[in-house]
Amino acid sequence: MGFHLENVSFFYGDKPVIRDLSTDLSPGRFYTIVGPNGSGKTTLLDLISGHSRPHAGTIRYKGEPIDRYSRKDLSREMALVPQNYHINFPFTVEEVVMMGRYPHIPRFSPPAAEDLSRVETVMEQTGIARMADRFISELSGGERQRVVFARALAQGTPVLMLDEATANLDIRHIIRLLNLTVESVRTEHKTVVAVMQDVNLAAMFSDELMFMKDGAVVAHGPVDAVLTSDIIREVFSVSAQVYFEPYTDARQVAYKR
Amino acid sequence: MTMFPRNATPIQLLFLSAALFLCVIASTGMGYVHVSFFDTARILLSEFPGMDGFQTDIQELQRVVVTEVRLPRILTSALVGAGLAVCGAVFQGILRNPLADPYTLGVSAGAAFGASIALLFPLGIANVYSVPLLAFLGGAGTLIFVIYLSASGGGISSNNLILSGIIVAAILSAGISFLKYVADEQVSVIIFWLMGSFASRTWADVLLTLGAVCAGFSVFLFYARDLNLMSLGSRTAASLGVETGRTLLVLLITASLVTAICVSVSGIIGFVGLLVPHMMRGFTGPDNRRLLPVALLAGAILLLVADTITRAVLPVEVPIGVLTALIGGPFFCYIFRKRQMARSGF
Repeated sequence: MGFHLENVSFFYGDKPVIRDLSTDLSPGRFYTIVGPNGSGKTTLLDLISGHSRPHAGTIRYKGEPIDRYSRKDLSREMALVPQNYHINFPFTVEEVVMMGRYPHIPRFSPPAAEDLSRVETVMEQTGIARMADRFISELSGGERQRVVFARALAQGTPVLMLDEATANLDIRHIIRLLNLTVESVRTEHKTVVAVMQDVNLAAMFSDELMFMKDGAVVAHGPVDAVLTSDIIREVFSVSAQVYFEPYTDARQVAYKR
Repeated sequence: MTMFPRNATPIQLLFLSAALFLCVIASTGMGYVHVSFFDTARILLSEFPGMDGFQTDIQELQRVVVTEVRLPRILTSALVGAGLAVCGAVFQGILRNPLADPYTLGVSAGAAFGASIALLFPLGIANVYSVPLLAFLGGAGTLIFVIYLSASGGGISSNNLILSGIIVAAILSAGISFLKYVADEQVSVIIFWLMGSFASRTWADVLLTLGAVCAGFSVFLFYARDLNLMSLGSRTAASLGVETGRTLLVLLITASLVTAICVSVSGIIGFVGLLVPHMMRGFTGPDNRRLLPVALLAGAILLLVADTITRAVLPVEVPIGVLTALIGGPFFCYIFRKRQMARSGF
């Protein structure tokens, strides 16, 4: 019922970025895509979110080809936290979070009571309620990222995509936001597809890891099954030891310098 | 406490509408033939059907000056100001750059080139139409070329648009210089047109601009919420349900056509489209649903007042484009510098 990708390929010019990729993603799971820079992680997110069209192969969401959905329909199904970027216009934090409700509010209508309460709840949960009236253009990179994360949560979609969404955050906020995300996977049966650089964080919070290299999936499965030192060496070309860490309650990687 | 309370917008709009209305009446009375404020109001009222009683004791000269000479000019300047201001707000949104303006994509250079050709090859009496027509075609043609130049497989990026606009505008200004060089004795006509003027505008100009600005403004308001999202980037906008490609194209074409029509009736008037939305954002915040109507009225007032100053206050009529650049340019430097200082924490 989630995503079904079959022999998907994507090119930038002549350069293949995704090669003949097939996989399934089911609801109620937290997937994290890991891999070296330029391995096609963000492109894969763009493809399954319908932002880019594959040059070959098919992508289905809930059994329907993804290009059958209108942008409006998709925006009620999936929310995206993009990589950190600069915003030039002084929208207030609250205005930006409210934009997450736009897909649910008719074009010329004011927000309904449900929209307002949802925005308020999400701002409390993500710890940005104190900044509600500050300008997004004046926030630090990490603060901005939390606001954009809150907007995606306010969108209230069954699917949440995180494109290095925690890259600029301090560790306290990373743990807070990812716990929030895991909780929504458990209670609301959300599908989360994340791209992360930090394999240890990915192992702590994800249900499944998908290792990518050169546009292809090298390994995909539950964390305990796929996170091994051999895979780390194959994907990242570094020496590493993988062990179970009781304190984080997850398999963790120690790298050789 | 937010600096931009949402409920302030109706008050701002009411205030600006009243100010615009008073400016129109006051400026109509000003000029070589003096007409008092109340006489002006009476003449205007008498133009409506069934109101003939208002002008019984007013001289025919004053009536003609007001309705046939001044009013078309005043309304054209207000409409052009309104059009340039809302187009500026839209360009700033789609190009994700608060310092873009309606001319960023070379529309003005294209229009100027078209007008220069029309002025260089005068068609006698038909010139009244050929100059605005060629100005419009030049502006619209430039836009189409700029879009073509910047389009890639994955859509249009705002950086590509700005770069293409700069390149095309540079080529066109070289073209204009060439035309001026060839023009010989006609060169002064071209130069004066390029500096912009509302002198001897007619009711036909008023109707043309009114139609363009109203149609454009309706489109902009319809897409105002999408424009908010577009100003945060196309990937974000798409993930929040905006058909980004279509919206960008509709807004780009509409804004450029309105700009081209404004240029074709007035010549090139800079800084209105840049400064008005930029300043009004300080009162309304960046939400285009509030910014667009406020910028519309503020742009109208600003250009109307500027045109009245050059027409009726200054001893010599300074071309309006020169006046807006002379006042707007330094003012722009001031706010730009102030922002840099605030950023670097001085």
